[in-house]
Amino acid sequence: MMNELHPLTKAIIAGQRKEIASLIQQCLAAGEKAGDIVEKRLVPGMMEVGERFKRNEIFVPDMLIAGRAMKEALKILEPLLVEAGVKPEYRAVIGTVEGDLHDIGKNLVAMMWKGANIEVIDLGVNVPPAKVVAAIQQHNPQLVGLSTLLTTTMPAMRDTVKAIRDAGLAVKVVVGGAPTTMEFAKEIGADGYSPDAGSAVDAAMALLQGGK
Amino acid sequence: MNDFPAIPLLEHRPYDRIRELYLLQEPTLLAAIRRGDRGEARRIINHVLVHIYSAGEERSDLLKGLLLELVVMISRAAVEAGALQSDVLGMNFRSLTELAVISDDEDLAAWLRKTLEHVISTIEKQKDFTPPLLVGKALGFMRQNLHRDISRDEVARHAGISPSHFSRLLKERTGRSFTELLRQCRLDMACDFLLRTEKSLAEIAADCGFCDQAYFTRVFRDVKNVTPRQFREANKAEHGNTKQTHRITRPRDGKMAACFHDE
Repeated sequence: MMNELHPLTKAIIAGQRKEIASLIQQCLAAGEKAGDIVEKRLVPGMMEVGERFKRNEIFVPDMLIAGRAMKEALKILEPLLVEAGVKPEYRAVIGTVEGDLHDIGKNLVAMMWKGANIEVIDLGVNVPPAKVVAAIQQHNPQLVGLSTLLTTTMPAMRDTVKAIRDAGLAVKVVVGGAPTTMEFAKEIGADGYSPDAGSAVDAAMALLQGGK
Repeated sequence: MNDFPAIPLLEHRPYDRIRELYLLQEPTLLAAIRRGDRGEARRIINHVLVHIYSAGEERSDLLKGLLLELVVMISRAAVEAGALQSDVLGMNFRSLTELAVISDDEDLAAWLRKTLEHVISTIEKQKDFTPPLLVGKALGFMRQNLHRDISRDEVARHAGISPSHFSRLLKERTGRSFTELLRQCRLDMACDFLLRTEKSLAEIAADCGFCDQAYFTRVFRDVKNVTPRQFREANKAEHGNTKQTHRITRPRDGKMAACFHDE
């Protein structure tokens, strides 16, 4: 880090949820716009957390508390963002595939995407292919994230990608989770692959910005 | 790394599965810590943590229990890998007390970070530690093969460690280089033969891996300040007083065995 980080950015990185409200009030009092606070204070914080996670410098709970601090910040800023008509540029639907009840990996990715200013619609865990397709049709996202932690649910991931393709939906699909590999992602027809939550933003951005 | 065959079997027993998952990863984890690759160690631990946090997310008591178990499992591995029990256990007691009063996610994350980094450090500190067994194995192999030309690389290979690591280890444990130690072993065996057998000097030189009697005598004199013959004469008297003399013979498998013969 070249520059001294803003206290709000630091608080996000350190996951200091209780500090968030007063730091945001300070920013607002200083005349910063809600959209700028997200873009210049919060997003760089989550980016840094993602980088540290990717570099294997931090543990899962460190990332979780950062995500919660981010969530707290967005909760405060959301009404102001709506009021100002600021909308995230991209929208994503995310969930764990049918049969998989582990949501931490998926939650981390959702956090990272929100942190990258992507609107995230979280379908939760154990999502059947039909429900993913329905959600895509309803929300019209540019991106779908599918997660699995178990080898046993990898076929469900294949089925889900197939259902999306069969429905003819123009959406980029990123898959990830412990048992998945780049080869597997290609084989089942996904557009992108992310081995961990830290790389999920890179994978998403590569598709969103490069694949238009 | 990408395949955990135990998982489907244990699916309905979620906590066994986490334990199983950790144990599958443990050798890789220890190897990573030993080579000083803390990043890889964290990556492996994070993999287990994803499972733990998925299982215990909504229940902080369960989460704390699972995290504590993980710490205990890694600590056990640390002790097995040669970390000082006092270091690891002292830390565990302290951690346990601290963990009991934690009620906040941020404090829990900080606790886990501190505790895991500490355990990793206790293993790292022992990076150069190799169980005495290994040096013992190497020395045993050397002693069994003194009669022939043996190289450092061969002994290291036999002990299953790299030649350079082996050299460092020997220096640490015995204060000597491989060559010095080998010569010492050869001379020790020669002394034994001189006192306890009637073998000729030429035979002893050959049995102890010296190329000829002249060289044997020279080395012997350099180290002991007497010739082998003088050594035998001077010390034989004492040994001669005993009712028994025991002769050392080397059976075909190369193992040394002390055989007692009634005179």
